[in-house]
Parts: sequence; structure tokens; C-alpha cells
Amino acid sequence: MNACDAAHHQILHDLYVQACGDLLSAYGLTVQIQKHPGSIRAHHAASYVSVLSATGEGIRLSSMFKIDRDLVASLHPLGPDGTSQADLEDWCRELNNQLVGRVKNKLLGYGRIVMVGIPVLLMGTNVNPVGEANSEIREYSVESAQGEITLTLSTLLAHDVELWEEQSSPADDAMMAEGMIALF
Amino acid sequence: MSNQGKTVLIVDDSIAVRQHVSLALRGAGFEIMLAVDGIEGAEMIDVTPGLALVICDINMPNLNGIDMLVRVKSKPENKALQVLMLTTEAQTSLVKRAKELGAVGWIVKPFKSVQLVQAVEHLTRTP
Repeated sequence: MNACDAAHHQILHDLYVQACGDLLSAYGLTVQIQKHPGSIRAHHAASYVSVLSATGEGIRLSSMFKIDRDLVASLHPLGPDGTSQADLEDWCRELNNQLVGRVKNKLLGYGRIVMVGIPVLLMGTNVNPVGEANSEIREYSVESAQGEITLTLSTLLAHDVELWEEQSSPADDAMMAEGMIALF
Repeated sequence: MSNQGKTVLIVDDSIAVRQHVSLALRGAGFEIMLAVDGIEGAEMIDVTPGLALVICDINMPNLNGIDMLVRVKSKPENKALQVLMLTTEAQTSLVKRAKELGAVGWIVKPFKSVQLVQAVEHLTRTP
């Protein structure tokens, strides 16, 4: 991977980390997201694991979102009490969906459109992603009193893909802000 | 404002989102119906006349929210049916497409319950 390719992968990872911080903050968890240099850690046997991909022209992203049971329960919109196993499984999927959705929205500012898939849930497992040639896999973690989140982003970019943030103009309102309500 | 007797259909594949929206709107007096994807949503609309509003996600399995909107609005009897999109999608071209298809609004997740209730009350206000 040359320096230019590495810079574009870095942009995707920066957007992912920023999106994750914003998402967790929206659900009341303000934390530092830590990057783990080097290889993937194998020790976080999370309660719930969600995997979700997004693809566009020359871009492929895959997000693995591992979270401990007590933490996913504490982030649930209805609160930790009374949530069933099915509720927590669903919420783990939805958090990854909203995370990748935020990355998708941020990529619009770079003139890139990706389509997001449907999140898949794995449970009670100690799974780790294996990268393919030319992909860039990085792992991040969040620690809180209720438990841990481990995030893994895999990025694959075609060689001719370059990411440049577009200058917005009044005629080019590329996206609505998160949390925004528009009534027509 | 009395919201009694007004029924809102929530179409979303996420249990948590359905629960969150239901809780907020039931607290404001609305009656709630639930569907897990666009196919079930369109079927429930077919058999439920008089819905005050449909709240619909975009990214769902089987039939997504935009395709559900196309299907529902292709029927003359649903011309006046109000559909509010609730989604992580924020792409303006998609918002414009939904508006052209007859959606009455767009909310980008995550949402605040108070603001959602205000928007729903505004849309379902009877003259």
C-alpha cells in the first residue's frame, strides 16, 4: 500500500472513529475510543457481536461491533431494566446499523455513496476478523463501568479511489444533519 | 391536545426502535400498530383504513421503506395517507425522492422522543 492509499484508508478510519464517538454520545456514553496498534486482540469474548458491510464504487467497509451484555443494556433507549435477550440482540444490531449509517452519511461529504447491508448478529462468541489482501483492518475499543466495546473496521479501496472532502455550496446540500426533522 | 383515536403504524425492523417510538407515542395518547418490514407494513395499510400516520424506516429486509412507499402510494386510496420516514439515511437525493413519492417528512436517527411526538402531533392535527 502506497502513502496515498494509506491516507485514504486513514480517512475512512477517522470517519468511523468520529461516527462511533458521536453515536455513543447520543446514547449517553461519552468515552475515549482507543486504537489498538498492530494485530487484532483475541481476548474480548463479548456477549453480542454484530457484523455489517457497506459497499460503493471502489469502496468496501465492514464493521464488527462487539459489546458486553451490561453495556448494551445500559445503552438501550428503554433503559437496562426489563429488556429481554431478544431486545439486546436487536439493539446490538441496530447500534452497528446506526454506526455504519453515520459513516455512510459522512462519506457523502466526500462525494461517495455506499449502500449499507443488513446487520448480522453472532452471540456468545470469541470471533475475530481475518483480513483479505489489500484490506486495512484496525481495531478500537471503548471501556466503561458497564463493560467494553470492541470495534473492528475493515476497509478495502480500489487503487483509483481517492477521498477528498468536498466544499459545500448552497446548491449542494449533500445531507441532512443527524437528529434533524424535516416536514415537507 | 387529544390524540385519542389516532392510530400510528410503525414500520421498522429494529425491535428497539419500534419500542422507543411506541413508548413515546403511546405516552402522548396515540394508538400504535407495528410492522417489521415493508411487506408487512404495506399489508397492514391495505387492511387498516383511517391510519393517522405511518412512520417508516428505510433500510429493512424484504422490502425497504422507499419501495414500500412506492407500493403504497401507487394505490389511489392511499393518496392522502401520511408517511413519515425515520432512518439513519441523510442523503438529500433520497429525501427528495421520498418527498416526490408522497412522504410528509424525514427524521434522521437517533431521535429525541419529545421532538418526535411534536412532529407527529403536528402532522396528525385535525382542523
